[in-house]
Amino acid sequence: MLIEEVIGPVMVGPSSSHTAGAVYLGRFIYSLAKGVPKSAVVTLYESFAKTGRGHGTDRALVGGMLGYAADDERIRDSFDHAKSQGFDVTFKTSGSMSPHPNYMTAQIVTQDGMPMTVSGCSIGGGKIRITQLDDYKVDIGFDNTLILVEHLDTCGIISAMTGVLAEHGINIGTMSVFRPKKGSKAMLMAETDQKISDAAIEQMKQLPNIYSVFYLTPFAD
Amino acid sequence: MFRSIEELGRLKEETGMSTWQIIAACQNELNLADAEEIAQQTAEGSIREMLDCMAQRYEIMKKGARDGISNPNRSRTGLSGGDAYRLEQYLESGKAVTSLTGRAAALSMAINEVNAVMGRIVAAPTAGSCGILPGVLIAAQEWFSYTDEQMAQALLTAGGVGMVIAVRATISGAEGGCQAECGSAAAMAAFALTELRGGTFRQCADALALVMKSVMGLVCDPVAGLVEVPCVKRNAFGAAQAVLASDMVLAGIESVIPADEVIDTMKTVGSQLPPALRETADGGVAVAPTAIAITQRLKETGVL
Repeated sequence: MLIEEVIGPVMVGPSSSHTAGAVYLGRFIYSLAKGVPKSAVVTLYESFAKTGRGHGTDRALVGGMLGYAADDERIRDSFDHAKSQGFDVTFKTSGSMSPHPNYMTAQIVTQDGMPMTVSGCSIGGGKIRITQLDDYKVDIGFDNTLILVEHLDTCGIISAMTGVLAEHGINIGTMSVFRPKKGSKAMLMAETDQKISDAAIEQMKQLPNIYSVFYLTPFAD
Repeated sequence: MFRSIEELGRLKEETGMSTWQIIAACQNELNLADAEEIAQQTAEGSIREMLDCMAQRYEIMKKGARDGISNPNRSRTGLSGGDAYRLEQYLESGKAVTSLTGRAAALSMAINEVNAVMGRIVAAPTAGSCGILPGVLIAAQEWFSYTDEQMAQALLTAGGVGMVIAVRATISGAEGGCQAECGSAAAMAAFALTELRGGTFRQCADALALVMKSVMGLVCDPVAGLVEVPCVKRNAFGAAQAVLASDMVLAGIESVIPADEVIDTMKTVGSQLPPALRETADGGVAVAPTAIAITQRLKETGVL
């Protein structure tokens, strides 16, 4: 635990789990979509659904998807800002149970027309976990830069991917690999200590059996 | 890293360092015996960075207090807003009987009212309790003319003490009730204020213990699930308790139960609170007839 987590985070209120955490979930989506999405349908579950409006969870999620930091006072009016940018977002609530009381699923379409589904939860103190990306069941936080590489599950590929990072002096903090089925598409997720250069990402994309590479950073622009 | 108030006290006794410096040194994994390294890090290294961070956050707290205390308007729901303003007006009228206490309470409410309307705040340790620590510190700085450097140190001290509470017990209302949020914030403020006022380590620890004992069992029962009622006014009372606790221990009053044991007790009591009293809005004042009517009205008008 850090002092900055006790005297902090700096955020807009009213709730670290229902507001700040929601901003970070939205910001994960913004980072994954490489910018503000074209559209989003967001479903809130359990506690998020129950107290979400009062805590500004919906406004915080939209703020994050607009790329705002957790302490950006524009979050209060994020629906208006979304509208003026042509970002079409709607909210639903679900009565179903979810893996965590502060849980959401966002079905988005990026500016390039790519559909994505992201599910995640806010676990308190502004911290989040992403639990699903399209078909991949995952478990990642968003405290550091993340690289996500969609690849074919085949022998030697993990070594090749981590080799690229090593070559560029990038140290891996935590890493997970998820595969819905043996021998099919899989997802590598690594939190890294250093930022990842465009050259490293390009080299990663050029490896055989790589489908897509995403580079996410939690820090506000 | 120290895991108890007692251990922190022992490190202070052994090294003779200030509490804030021990906390910062431990956080940065410095050798406490290396006085030269610590001095260097304090002048221009990792400890200086930490102090600068606290100083920046203190500025954000002060701005929130200024914005909140001058705003007479209600929030969107109508459940909070304008009470810090009201109390401040009353204090200035000369009719109030609380002085530093009243001012700390007004400032605490001011910041928590800003929190309620999605304004910028610093969670300390949480957003729901974000008014208490700054309310007490800002009021104390006005009263005693402490320097900004002393305030950054005080925030660091409060943070270190808060970490012990977070690690031994909890600072989450959902886990431990309001005693874990407002209680912890007030306990942190009591410790920091007592130290600013020149109290011994034992007195600071006792101030923490006294405050936490006074809120033992305090439930989290937010009306309509919002962070407004009774949250804003609980921030006022938390600030008031911290200020009084500092007077009590400096007068020579001791806590019979030591700080770490009180913290551990808060954890146990928290776990014994039913979920209805732990931030679900299913119990406490959240289910009082007026609260239910309010919740209904807010839903019908689309605010909730």
